[in-house]
Amino acid sequence: MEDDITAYLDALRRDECYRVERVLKEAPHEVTEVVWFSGANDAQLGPFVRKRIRRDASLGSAYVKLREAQRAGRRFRHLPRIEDCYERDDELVVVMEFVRGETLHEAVYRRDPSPQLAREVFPPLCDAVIELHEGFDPPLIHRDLKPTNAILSDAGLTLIDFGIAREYREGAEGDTTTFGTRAYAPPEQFGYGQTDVRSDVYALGMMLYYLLTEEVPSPRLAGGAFDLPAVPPSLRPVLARATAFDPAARYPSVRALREAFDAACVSADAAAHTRVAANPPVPWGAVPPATTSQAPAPIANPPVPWDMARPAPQQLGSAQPTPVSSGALPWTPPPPSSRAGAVAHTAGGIVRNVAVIAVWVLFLIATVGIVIDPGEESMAAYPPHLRWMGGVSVQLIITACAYPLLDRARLARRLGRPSLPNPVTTAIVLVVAGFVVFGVMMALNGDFSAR
Amino acid sequence: MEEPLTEDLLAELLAAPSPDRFIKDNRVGERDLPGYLQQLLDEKGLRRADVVRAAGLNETFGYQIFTGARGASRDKLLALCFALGLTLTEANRLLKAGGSNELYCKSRRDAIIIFALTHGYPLQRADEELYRFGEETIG
Repeated sequence: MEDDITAYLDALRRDECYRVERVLKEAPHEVTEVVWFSGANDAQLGPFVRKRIRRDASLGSAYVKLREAQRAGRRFRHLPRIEDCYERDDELVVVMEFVRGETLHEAVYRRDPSPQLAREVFPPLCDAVIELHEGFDPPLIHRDLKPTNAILSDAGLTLIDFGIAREYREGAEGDTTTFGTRAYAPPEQFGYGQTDVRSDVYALGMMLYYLLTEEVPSPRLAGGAFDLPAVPPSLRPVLARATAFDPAARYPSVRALREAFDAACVSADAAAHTRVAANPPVPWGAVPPATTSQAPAPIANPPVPWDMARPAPQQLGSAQPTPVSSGALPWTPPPPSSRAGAVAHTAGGIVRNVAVIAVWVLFLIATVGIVIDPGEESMAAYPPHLRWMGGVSVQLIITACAYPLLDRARLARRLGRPSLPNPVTTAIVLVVAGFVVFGVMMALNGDFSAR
Repeated sequence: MEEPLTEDLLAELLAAPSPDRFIKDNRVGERDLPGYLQQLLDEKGLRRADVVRAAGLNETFGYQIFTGARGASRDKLLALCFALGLTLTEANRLLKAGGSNELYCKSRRDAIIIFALTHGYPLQRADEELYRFGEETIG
């Protein structure tokens, strides 16, 4: 009790030392600024984010809880570190770390929505909300999950803005104040009942939809079929259940939602791999099937380096189980040349290549034979170097005809290259080269025979 | 005293010869002390006698403040703030209505009073805290 006022007075003295660098956001109920702490000799510490929140309707109580937990020694991977938290007049002032990175909103804009992006970003997002729910008793419901409230940085994903988060209270009729963004907030947040962990499940479902489509979700989509081309079929039931209108119909917790998402990823991978069709536009998940029946990756995942693009590992049937959606195996699109060929081992490719190369070698032998030892009269009339040039030009044109006939995919794999040059352009280039050489030969021949 | 509707005020403002005159005539932004006190009593459903007693004021003196016969010093007004259980905004309005300065968190004494007020301390406890920190008490 005595400490309360002493701490409060000390905090007020510290408050005088903060220097505002710029204002990030100004809303009726809170102001967000970037501040620096000036020490006694004008030394600067920072930057920090400072929020000044109006003290009604118990706004901002989540920050207090979070700070208490952190002061007690707990660490959170996905929640910001609260430096300072005190009252001042009618406001609650929260000073927290400045997380450098881009919001999910910006990331989706920059990288375009896709299932790969969802695979990379959604699991850590779920982990962050799980930290909020399971790390506190009673759970802290965020209630304002949306793409601008998650930051992707080097350290991974951080949730920000707990302004309207509150702890779950059993038995309450309904929340007394309605807040939130209509697109992402479930119906009960607008007065139909009390919000609980399933409200965050709904918001996460809508965020998954946003990650896949970059469309602002509408309450009309809630619980629907999500029958859209951008949404992979295996994810549609996940979305449908997560965004069901009735909280009882949704996943009971964010952990359950995450497990369902992981399971959907695994089944999509398995389905893609068993496809043997000639031109599979592999949707997503070219991960080897050794990863079936995996337990969902634990919370302590290695940090997701979200802007890297490692190629998918080539080892098939690896003995080590690898987590499916930890982001450690980002899916990269298969090389375009594979679309022209078969994915599986077909004998036809080998035969074709061998035949074409054999024919080409035959022509080569014939051409070289004629050049070296021209038995016919017409060829003998030409001097050797011109004969060589003629031979080269003919061989070039023959190559131009033969190259498109090759099974380029097989050859590329055998040579260890991602792909071979485009057949049409290569053929044109070779033909042109052949004619140029021929033309030069004729020109020289003209000079020669003119002598 | 009921506050005039904003539209009426706006119409008058546009018609008035000068803004100063208008503000003076209509007392925009000004509340008078007895009026606001009564308004607070009504809003919170309290009785004047109880409030005066809780504030530790002399009965007659309290009555005179409520009727407007006498003014009140800042400390007396602060005592009334505690007795009425006001929020910080209401307390500042009351102080202003009574012609005193509002609560200013940079002043150490005011800061403690703000803390006590927003945490619902009764007047006596607030005085104890003020005394503990070496500041002048209210009552």
